[in-house]
Amino acid sequence: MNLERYNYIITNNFQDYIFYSNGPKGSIKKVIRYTKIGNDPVTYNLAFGDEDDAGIVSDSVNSNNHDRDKVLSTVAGTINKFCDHYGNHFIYVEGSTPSRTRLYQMGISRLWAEVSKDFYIWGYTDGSWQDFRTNVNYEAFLIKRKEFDIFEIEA
Amino acid sequence: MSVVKKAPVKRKEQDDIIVSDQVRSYAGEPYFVKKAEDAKEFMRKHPLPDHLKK
Repeated sequence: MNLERYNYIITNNFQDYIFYSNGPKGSIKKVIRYTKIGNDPVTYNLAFGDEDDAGIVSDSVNSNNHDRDKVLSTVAGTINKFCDHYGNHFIYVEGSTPSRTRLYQMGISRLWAEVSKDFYIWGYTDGSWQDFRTNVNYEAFLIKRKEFDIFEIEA
Repeated sequence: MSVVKKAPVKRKEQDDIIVSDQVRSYAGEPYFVKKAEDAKEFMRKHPLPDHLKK
């Protein structure tokens, strides 16, 4: 992906990622953690939140730092880094509330042209996992990094 | 006639990343523990269909 993003720091087990969002609200510490949640197929949960001065992480606050696409691009970058280390497994993403999940859906939709180059994404809606579509609301998402570009050529 | 080809995805190397043992692990952070438990429960109730597991 060729999108602007923040630099980040990784713990040496490649499961925790930290970066700072900078904007009108100041510098906000963002933390991403990947946790294994299943083996068939191997699936990791991607959780993402703000860490306050007391070291408490949550995503209950809308930080509104005018950098949502840069933040989303940074999160996508961590998926690439995580997959470099652990392999191209399924990654589960869900917001803490339906409205937060909807924000993720809108963010993915805005960046779909770039995001879809690197990742397969499915959304859960109406009782099943479906290929991601930009105009649909989902309850949760599954992401898997692409290994190959598939294209047609004239023989 | 067209032929379907596949080639490894080319990715730009991310060279502005720091790996550090000075950063704390968030493994026990309650927010992340709950998120993982919720995710596990969701996947238990709504597993992937077999054709997506391949």
